[in-house]
Amino acid sequence: MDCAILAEKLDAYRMGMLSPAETAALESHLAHCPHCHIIAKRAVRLDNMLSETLPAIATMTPQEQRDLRDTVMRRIQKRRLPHVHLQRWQWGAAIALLLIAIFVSINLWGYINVQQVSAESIISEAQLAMNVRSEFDGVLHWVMSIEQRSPYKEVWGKTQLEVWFDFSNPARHRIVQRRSPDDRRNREFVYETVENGVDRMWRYTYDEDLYDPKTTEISLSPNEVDKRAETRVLQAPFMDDLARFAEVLPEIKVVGIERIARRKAFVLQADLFGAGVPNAQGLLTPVTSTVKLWIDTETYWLLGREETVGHESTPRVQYITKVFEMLPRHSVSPDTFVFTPPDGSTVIYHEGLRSVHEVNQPPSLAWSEVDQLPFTLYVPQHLPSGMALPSALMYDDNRYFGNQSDTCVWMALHDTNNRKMILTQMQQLHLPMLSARLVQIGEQQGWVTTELLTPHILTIWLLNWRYEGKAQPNALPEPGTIHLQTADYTLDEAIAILESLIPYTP
Amino acid sequence: MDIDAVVRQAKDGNQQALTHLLMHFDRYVFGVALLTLGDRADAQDAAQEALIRALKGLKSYNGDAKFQTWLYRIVVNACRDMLRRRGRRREMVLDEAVLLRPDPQPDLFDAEQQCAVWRAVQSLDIPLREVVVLRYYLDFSGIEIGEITATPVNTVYWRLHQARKQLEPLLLSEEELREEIASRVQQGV
Repeated sequence: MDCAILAEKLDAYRMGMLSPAETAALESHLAHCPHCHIIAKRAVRLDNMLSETLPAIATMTPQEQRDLRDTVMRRIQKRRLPHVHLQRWQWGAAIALLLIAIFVSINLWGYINVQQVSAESIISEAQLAMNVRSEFDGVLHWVMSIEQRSPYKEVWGKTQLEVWFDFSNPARHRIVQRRSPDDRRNREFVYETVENGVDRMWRYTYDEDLYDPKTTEISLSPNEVDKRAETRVLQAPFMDDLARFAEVLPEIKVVGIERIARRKAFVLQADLFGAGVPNAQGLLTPVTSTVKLWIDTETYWLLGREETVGHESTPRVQYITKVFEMLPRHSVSPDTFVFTPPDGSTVIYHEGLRSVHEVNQPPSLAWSEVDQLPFTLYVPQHLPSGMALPSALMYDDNRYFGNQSDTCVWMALHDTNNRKMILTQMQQLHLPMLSARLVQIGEQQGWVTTELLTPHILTIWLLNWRYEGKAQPNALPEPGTIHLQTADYTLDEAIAILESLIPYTP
Repeated sequence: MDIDAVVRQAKDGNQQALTHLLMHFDRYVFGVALLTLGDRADAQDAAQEALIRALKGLKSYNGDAKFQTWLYRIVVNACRDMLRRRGRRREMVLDEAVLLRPDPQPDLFDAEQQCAVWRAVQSLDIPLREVVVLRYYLDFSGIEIGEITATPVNTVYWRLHQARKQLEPLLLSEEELREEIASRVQQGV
């Protein structure tokens, strides 16, 4: 046996795996070769070092062990994994339904409601039910619920962020932020990401001012955020909430990387020292806030947000709780979304103004069909209270996602050309429209829109009509546009108004 | 603990036996994952995945191989899956930050040696790292390592040899230096 072969056989020898003949040859060589003798001694030292050190390195903290055991035990115990349903939630006496999307596949996700639960339970449910993969080939969808309690009001509001993100087409994504009905500002935040060379930027439009939407761009470069000591200044849209407490925008530091719901996230933190808010004497008292943000390291989406506010009267108030869950969906195509008219409806397909085809049992229509075919939908005169309708439209760059609303007044669809014209008008008005459909009641035609947070409240937009009655609907600057909300009227009153409309002539 | 007996009971659906298995193996599974993946969070995920697969899939364990061999095959595959998923997007190697520092602080040489070993092992390519971890952390034989990693035994020995060639200059020269220093300190030089 020569030295080279001995070196190769050494591990097998030390593990007792050589044949007797090979063992004898190796040992004989070792006895007479000083060089290989040293090699063997060093091998022993290395083996001992590794055997002693690796176990010392690969230790778990008690917390890690607890987390691992808890998670594994929950998963292996024989119970059905919670299926994430979004269930109806109640705002006082009102019932609101939320539906994000309708997927026509083996699993039809037609009706999804959101249930108000605590942060902790959502996180544990997410950890149980989630099976997130790092590579997505479809639409990632998650919901984030935030309850905000202010020192100034008992409950400032409940906000939900709902996100759709198409990893196969990053340009297609949407975040919808919905506020509680207590907040009548009815804002919609739309977040988009664009790629600009090596940087990924966030851009959002902020629609509070209907006539002057603001666009702010923020940049988060992957090449810089892993330097923990570096400070980056981010003008994040969510910081606008704090901006009123601060005279300057905060400096945000990357303080580490953490795991949130099986995603790896940069943790950003900002401390704010604000000019303050008025106290009982009307004097401004300083407010300190700490905001932590969790940004997904791959997608740069906001995964979590936590804010703590300190004030003289309330030294430390947890302002916002971060909770979220993720429901990955794969290979979602627009054709999977289905529009199903409500029971009792009649769908009339027509070309121009002539009926050519009437269907009493409304079919399920793919959105691509809805998009292309002009049709009119008649609904029963009296919709039962709480009737669930399978879909509404959420306008998003000509993609339609299924939505669900409770009680609806249907109005006519225009033909395709008119509808596009109306869409254009809606866009120009920058309306906070989260769902829209063209419907008809009697001879009236127009749009019905809903906001996902308050889908029981319908907003009916009628063009080229005006109304003269005792209950004046709100008027928009656009001449001839009628805007009324069913929150202000019963269904019968709304129908009565619609039937009383007079054609508008400028 | 008589592993085979506990495994049999767990296969029959005994929840307590399942718990015993989990509590016995969880730290080793995590250890393999940590040493292989080099990241605590990834190790936690891979360990979870592996333990869940193993404990839920006990019915598929038919006793042909030792239970440990069967289990760590699952662990190695879970780590490989994680590596595939992580791919090139892994931006940060936390290096020594991954290592826990027990409190109170150990002997300085111990801590330095741990860091040196950690760095050296993480510098190995994955196939070499796997065999090193299975050999020196779990003390598996060449045949068992071959079964776990689905590689021929000769390949296992070859990889151990290659790993040794890479690790020795990184680790032994440092150790020898430390011993020299310690010896000189002792001699008052």
